[in-house]
Amino acid sequence: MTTIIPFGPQHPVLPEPIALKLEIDDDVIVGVLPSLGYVHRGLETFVNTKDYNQTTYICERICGICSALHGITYTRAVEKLFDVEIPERAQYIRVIVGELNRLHSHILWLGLFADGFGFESLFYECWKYREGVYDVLERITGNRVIHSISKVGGVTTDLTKEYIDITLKMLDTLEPQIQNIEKVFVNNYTVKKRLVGLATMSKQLAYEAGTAGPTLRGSGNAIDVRNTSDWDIYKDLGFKTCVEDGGDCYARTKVRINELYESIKLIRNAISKLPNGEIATPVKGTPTGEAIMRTEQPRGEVVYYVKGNGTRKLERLKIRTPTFANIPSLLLTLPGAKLADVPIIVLTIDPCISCTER
Amino acid sequence: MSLAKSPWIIHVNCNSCNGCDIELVACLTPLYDAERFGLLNIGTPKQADIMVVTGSVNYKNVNVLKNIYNQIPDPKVVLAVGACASTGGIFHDCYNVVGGADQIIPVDAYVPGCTPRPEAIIDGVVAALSILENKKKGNIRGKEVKLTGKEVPSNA
Amino acid sequence: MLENTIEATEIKSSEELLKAVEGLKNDGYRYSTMMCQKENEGHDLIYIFEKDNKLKNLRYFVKPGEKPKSVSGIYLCALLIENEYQDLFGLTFEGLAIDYKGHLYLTPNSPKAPLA
Repeated sequence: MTTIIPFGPQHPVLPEPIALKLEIDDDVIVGVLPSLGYVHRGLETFVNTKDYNQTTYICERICGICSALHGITYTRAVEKLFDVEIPERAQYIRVIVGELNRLHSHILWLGLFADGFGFESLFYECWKYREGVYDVLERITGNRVIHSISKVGGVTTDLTKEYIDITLKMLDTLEPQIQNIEKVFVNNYTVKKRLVGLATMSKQLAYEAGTAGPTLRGSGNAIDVRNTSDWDIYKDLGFKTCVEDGGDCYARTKVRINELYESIKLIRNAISKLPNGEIATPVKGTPTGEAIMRTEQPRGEVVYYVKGNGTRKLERLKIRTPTFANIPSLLLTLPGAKLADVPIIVLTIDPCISCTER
Repeated sequence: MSLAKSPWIIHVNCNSCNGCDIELVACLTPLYDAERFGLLNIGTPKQADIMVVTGSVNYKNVNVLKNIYNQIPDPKVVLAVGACASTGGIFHDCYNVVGGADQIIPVDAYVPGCTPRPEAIIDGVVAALSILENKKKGNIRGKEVKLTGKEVPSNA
Repeated sequence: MLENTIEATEIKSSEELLKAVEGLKNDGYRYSTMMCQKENEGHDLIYIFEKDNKLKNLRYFVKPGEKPKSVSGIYLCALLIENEYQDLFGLTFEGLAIDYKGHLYLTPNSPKAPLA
């Protein structure tokens, strides 16, 4: 005899509305049916009314957590349509702001995750540290959440000496703070008890289920778009993919913590190599053709498809966001788990519903 | 005695891009510390005094919004945070967007901005507190919201 | 005709599509996503697969009124994107693993097939 229990859309651990219909037998889940659509706005139709420059600001508002990387990916896709090479300094600034974005996103997630398993003080600790990253982003770009750093042809703001100094200073304070919270997430007995062995996905399963980002890398697959020829600059910065073999919630948490250190390293390297020169090239004309662009966001790989038809407006814009790829993995990991563990398992894919539904 | 000394808020995410949501949570964390006003984020509408809405309303979440509003006991105040919750914002002419929160439920205070800073959100909550006190004194009750039919999905 | 298009293998029939997708799965490809757009009254589908960070694309044209076959039997993760296009373009995929019947995002009251 099974019972159906609705989880969401309004649920204390979820800041965003997603509904899962959980079919349970006693306390064990036997079936899952996700129900989406609470955040669906229909952004992809905007390209028919706005020109390709204005669409940048729409793409930044797909998600308020990875907003800078959405804008960067969109502008890179349009630049691929135009076949323009942007100045090297602009590429470095994009990497720096993009990695700052990843830093704040991962710390935010660690906090929400701690809240999810009832570790309130750890949640507050994480969010306190996150404010340092936000201060820097606000100084550089002028807004805490929507950064608008990228435009077609380059970046909007230059990184002056003053901004570089505050960024480096912030990284120096942030690193020991991350070590502080890492100790708790990695070593604490209670945390380990909740996470180790929970919702394990084998290497093969995670690969075939089409997952992305830390969910994929937590299962031992060393796949990261930053490693590919799609974005050459990361190779010069000495990027190393963070992989864990466990495949459980604990491994996914460790991947994200290691990525924090990796991001700090990347920002430092990018600042030390920051070339002089222009920050944007003028882009004129109308885009034609199709292009696919991939970027690694905090939650995983995002795929942008743009198609221009020779007018100022694009004909089609399609975005495959990382959470969209990760939700099917819930169908595989949730059955067999206990009802009380559902919030933690849902949180470990770092769900971003506004990305998923656009 | 005074309700305004410890208002509990319930956060309803309608169609938000996460920007306003995380700023609202940031209000409650150590740097901005809205708890010094007695503010507490609570999971159930039955215990809440202030309803904070982020994001515009779409055809699917209109029922969620209405149900939560109707469950909050009187006196209650609705605060719309961000451009989307106030007017529909940048998304106002998307095909799946009905509009701002005030298209469905009565809104008492608006916080503009995309996204509003945490200081602005706290300011909005403090403004809502005096409205809450007035409503309590005047014994003003919120009417039960019913959908007119245009926005009701037939399978609801 | 557009210039500067992405490289894609043209697929003629839905049987050939399922065969090609199955072949890709055996070769160790991962399902990435699928693009869909209106073209010549029908719909143009581009399936995107990934292996070792290389993309492989299949292009399949859906004639007006045709019901394309779902690949969710081969790759389970295809079900969300196929359901999305059922909502947005009014397509019908045959043999979906979980069929939301055009109500993944939209309710009966929302606009029907807004991108079609």
